[in-house]
Amino acid sequence: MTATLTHSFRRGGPAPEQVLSYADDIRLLRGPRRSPWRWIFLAAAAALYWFLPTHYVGDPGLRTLAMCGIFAIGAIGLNLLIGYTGQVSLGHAFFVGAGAYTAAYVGGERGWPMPAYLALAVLIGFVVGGVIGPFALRLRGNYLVIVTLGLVFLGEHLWTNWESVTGGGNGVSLREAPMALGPLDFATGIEIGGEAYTFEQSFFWLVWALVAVAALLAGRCRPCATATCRPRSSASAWPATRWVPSHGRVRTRRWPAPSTGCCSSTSARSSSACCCRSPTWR
Amino acid sequence: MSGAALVAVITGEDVLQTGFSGIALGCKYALIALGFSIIFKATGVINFAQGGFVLIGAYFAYNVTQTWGQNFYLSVVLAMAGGALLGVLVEMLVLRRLVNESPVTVIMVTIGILFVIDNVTTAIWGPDNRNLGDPWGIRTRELAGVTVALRDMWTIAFAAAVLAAFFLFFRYSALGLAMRATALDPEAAMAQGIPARRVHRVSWAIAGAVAALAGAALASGAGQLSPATGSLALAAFPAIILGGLDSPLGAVVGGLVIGVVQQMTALFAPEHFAWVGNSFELVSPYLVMILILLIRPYGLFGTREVRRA
Repeated sequence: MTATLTHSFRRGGPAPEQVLSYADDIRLLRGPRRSPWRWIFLAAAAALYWFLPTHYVGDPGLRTLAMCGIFAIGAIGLNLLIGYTGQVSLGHAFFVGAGAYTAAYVGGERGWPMPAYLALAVLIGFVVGGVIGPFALRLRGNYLVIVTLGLVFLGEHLWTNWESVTGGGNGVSLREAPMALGPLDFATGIEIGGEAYTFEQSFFWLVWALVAVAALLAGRCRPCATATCRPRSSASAWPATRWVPSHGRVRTRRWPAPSTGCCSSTSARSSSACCCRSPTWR
Repeated sequence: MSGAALVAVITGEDVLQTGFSGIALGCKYALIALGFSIIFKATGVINFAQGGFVLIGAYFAYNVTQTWGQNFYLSVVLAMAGGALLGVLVEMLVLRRLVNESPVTVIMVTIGILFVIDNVTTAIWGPDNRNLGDPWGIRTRELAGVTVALRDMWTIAFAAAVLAAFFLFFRYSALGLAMRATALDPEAAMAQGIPARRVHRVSWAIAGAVAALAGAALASGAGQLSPATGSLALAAFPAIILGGLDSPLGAVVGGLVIGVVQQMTALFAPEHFAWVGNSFELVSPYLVMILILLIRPYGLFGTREVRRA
């Protein structure tokens, strides 16, 4: 480390691996920006992305890995909320449900194309999160935890009773929803360079591509007020900047929703039927 | 079939009757909420496993009456003892190691305990609906012209006795004083020689015991005991929030309010607010909770937190 430090002193800047700001601390890949390890990591991830489905893991394993990716998208959203702003939420399942039902309804029932229903699921999650955000801001700590739990129950009531959209207790199916993205039809398995792949392989690629998109979007959150002004550990350390954290909180509360909405729409696709019981917190 | 033709007239008697069963339900919530607020006040832990204590307490009572063939009232007492023991065990084995951890960690751990209890209970006693075998069943009694369920009367009596005993204990006993002192200022209390660990243990024991009583009351009647009993207990959360997290009195008031609101919703919603959908009474407590919190973010009796968490 001494070598790099001297090196950077000579340049007149800080060492590349030094964490100088909050933005550095929450970077997707920590460590020196110009380190070769960064590129090795990316290359390894890309290699895994391609070779896991083609060479190493069979269809059942890929189904599990796709599920992991779906949960990862949900966790990315939750991390924005809990990790960056310290707002503990147990109501994340509600956003997942909102996205899942949106996708199932417009994709499965109305036959919208995949990019459209994914985008709408994200948008609905975004809007619902934005509506709930200001209300949640009135609450602190433990009260917020329990109220977000209530959100799940309210959601479940809505899903059970809004039968024209959600299908009530029978649920609404995504089995018929189109899954084509340009020339690639994920529903039947994509074809690349004359080689046909199974549904599980294609779905693995789709889900983990969405994970990457969600992670990058979440990473883009960092210049916003929350990330820079409000350390994740405590808001209490910053009493003077009261308006800034709250402003940031509304923004981040909106943020996780889209990524979760996306999570849920893919999740619903994988299970093919979006049952009303599944998106609960338990 | 038009809606108007189906509307039955709701008489004053109906309202009284519903009010009474609402109070009985509220007593059960009050017991659960009381255990919750005791733990929170003494240790600062939000115990999501309280619903699990309720569930396993009900099954303890079932085991004593049905499997071992003992007297029902004895079974309730034994279930309360079992619940207290379970509470102490959880405190000693798990929560004691989490002192000074962040609230999120503790919450996640108690949720984990809830899942464990839920699944262990189902593994031992199975997923079917059971009969607790209480002597009240579905019998009713005329009381001042109103028909009330016998089990509701007993529930209210039991709950009133336990709540009175608790408040007397809290107010007059040395241990109660120690608990209040610890809740007020843990460090000052320890400096005065108050054993914080014993206080924590006792608060978990009380919470476990009242939860078991609430469980037995919730499960009484015909075939009411099933693993879902634990999730019924979740409706006690609005009660706690309503009263303010750190106020035992608030927990009782909140429980009664939520119970009455829930039963009244069950009475009125299908006739007059059909558009809200089926079994709206299951979510009405949460709605009430959210409305109250928007006006008073720290509940009706809660202490305002100075620290911004």
